[in-house]
Amino acid sequence: MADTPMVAMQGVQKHFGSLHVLQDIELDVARGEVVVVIGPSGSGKSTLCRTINRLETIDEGEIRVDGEPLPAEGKALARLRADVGMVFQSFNLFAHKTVLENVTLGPIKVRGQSKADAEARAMELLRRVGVDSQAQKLPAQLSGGQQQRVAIARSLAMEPKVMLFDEPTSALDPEMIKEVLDTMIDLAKGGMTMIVVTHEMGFARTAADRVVFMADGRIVEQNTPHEFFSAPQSDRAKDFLGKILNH
Amino acid sequence: MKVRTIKLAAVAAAVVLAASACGNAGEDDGTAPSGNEYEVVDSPDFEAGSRMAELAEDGKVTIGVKFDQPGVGFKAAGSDTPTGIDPELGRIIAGQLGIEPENIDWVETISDNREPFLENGTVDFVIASYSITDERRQVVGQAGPYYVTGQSLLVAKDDDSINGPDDLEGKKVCSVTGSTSIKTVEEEYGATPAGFDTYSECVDQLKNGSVDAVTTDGAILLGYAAEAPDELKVVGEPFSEERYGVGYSKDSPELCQFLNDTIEKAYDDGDFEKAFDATLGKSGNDVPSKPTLDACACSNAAVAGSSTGPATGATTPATRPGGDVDAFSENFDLILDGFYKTIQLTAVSAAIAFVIGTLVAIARVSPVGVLRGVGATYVTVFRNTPLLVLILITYYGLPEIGINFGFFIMVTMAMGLYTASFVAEALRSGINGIAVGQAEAARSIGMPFGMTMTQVVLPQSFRLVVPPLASVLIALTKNTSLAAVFGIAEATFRMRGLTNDYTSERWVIFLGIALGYVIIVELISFGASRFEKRWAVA
Repeated sequence: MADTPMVAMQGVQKHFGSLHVLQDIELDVARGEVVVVIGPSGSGKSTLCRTINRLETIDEGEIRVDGEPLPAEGKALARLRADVGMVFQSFNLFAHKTVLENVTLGPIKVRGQSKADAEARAMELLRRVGVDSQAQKLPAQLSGGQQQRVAIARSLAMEPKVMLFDEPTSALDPEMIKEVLDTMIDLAKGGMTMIVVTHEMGFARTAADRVVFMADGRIVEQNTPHEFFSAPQSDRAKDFLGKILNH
Repeated sequence: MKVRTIKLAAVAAAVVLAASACGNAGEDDGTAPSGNEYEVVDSPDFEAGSRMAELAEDGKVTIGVKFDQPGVGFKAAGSDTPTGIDPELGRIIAGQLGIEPENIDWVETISDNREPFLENGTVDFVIASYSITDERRQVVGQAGPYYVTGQSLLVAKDDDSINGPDDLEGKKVCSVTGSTSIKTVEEEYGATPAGFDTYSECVDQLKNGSVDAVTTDGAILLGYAAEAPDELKVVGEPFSEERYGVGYSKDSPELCQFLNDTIEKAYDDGDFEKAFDATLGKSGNDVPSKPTLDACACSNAAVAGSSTGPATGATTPATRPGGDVDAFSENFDLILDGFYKTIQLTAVSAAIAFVIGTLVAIARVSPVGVLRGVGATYVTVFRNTPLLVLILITYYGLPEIGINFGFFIMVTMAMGLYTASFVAEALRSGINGIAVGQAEAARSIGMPFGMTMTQVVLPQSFRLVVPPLASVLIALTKNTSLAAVFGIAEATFRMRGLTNDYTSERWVIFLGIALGYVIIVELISFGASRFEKRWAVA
């Protein structure tokens, strides 16, 4: 079973009305692999990320997580989502719950853990992401960087097999980006399977095992970070890199 | 059923046409429908300046009678003149004033407006099964009595559970709002009162099973029992003494003696017997013996001092003794009880509304198309139907198809279901006001739809919708006053009763009851702001 990719996408197609947002997507992500998805705005990279836990449905093709096809809906889908962590651009912490409750809600309600166990584990995770001192505060009392680290801890508390990051630093002030990226780099080093949609090329260089470049709903090119950034193959990727690296 | 109604209506229309045809054929001679004719005195002799002299001079008089009490005071649709013992007496009195029967202007006085009509001069006399009471004599004059009857009970023919007033404990008993009989059964026999504007409405309630009994004077009830002998019966001995008097304005105390003399004369010369035989006597009852009339000194006590001669000091002013708060101090228990009922109605309706409203709101945002349709249909139906119509449907319609949980539950159900549509829409706007990312985050940690709603979305929505929900609850509080129309003894019902009993204190009563509502509403607002603070997230 070690050969089964953690995430496998085959022939995935998706339309938003007349817009063909995902075209012929073929992507396997191996266990423990860190894949960074980059590309211009509107290239479909966020949509791709969201299809993996079915926050977006697909029109055609198949997506498997740890060898199992995605259920269409209901309890089975909920169970699968519990195994796929997701970190959003806008954090989406539960606004009416404290930081600690945000992290323990899933383990208690979905996993059925005892409150004491869930809280002990949550404090450990909050310590790991460096916001344990804020545990009793409400999300609105935290900075953006702190909120995003809590969101990461909330996902980790579910013991996910794979984590999806949908532009996790795009809504952050520059000085807060680093604290979130550092947390993600630690996770990557720890062996977590990660799919990261980002504009942070520095993160892609240091933490990624593979860079996937998307444009116009297609995967145009994929390679190791070193090969991709030093010798991009496609004109589309050269153009994109030229724009973001030379200003 | 329907066919029969139409047939009846056709027959009635034909009768009316025939009647009016007769009336038009010859000059309307104003003769009583009973056919009785009474003496019309030629140029009667009254003391100059007296009200009698004024009326005789005018040659016409306005008399208030009931239009809905067969045998007592009744006017069929389309008919010009009322029938019954009361209108007969009116013709006798007019005759003694030298006024021809066709010059009598008949006005319907329901129980509620007998005193106001006399006070503001809408009518000259009230002869409308008008029991003499001390309370009424504080505000109007009442001559007589011309007829003594007693409170009885009208029940369904097949009802063996009620045989007298002692069986009324907890039973729902209908009578006219503001009448003495409804007070008696409530205060002395523990019945649950249901008040309506007319006895015919009460009889309808009895026929459809919404009330257990109708109570008022035996004469009136016999009239109804005679109309539907297969459905209704009068039970038990009369348990009170009702003395019918002729109402007149206190501004003209001299009318009392004239009226008493007229009543005495009618008994002595056989006119009253003639009147009785043509009306109530048809039920088989014998003409009553002449009652002992109250002395006018006592009828007029309240104004005797101010209108005739110098004040004696022994009489009291025209206003009720004890100042303006009597209506409240004497009826504090009843008013508290009324507001307790109001709060009860509000609480039960609100509970129904919040449970159903939340379910409907969830249905409206659910991922299942059928549920969304059901939710939208519910809101469309219940929000667009006037509340009064909904209550009428539950009140009259559902019992017809065998659904009847008793009136309190039926009314609260109607109000709860109606209010639920507003709760659902308020909640839905709250749910839509929660960023979609909150639900996505909940789903992404493996929460199914229901858990996402209950754990994440709804708790935040409730905070957003506290202000609109408070408005809905306040509207509901005031909507419960509609229950008064259906005879539930809540605050507005008590207000109506009190304004009848204490006509000189109406403003105080209105303001006092309004204040009670303001207090309830302020409590709701206060509670809402507390909730808003407690559920704040920043």
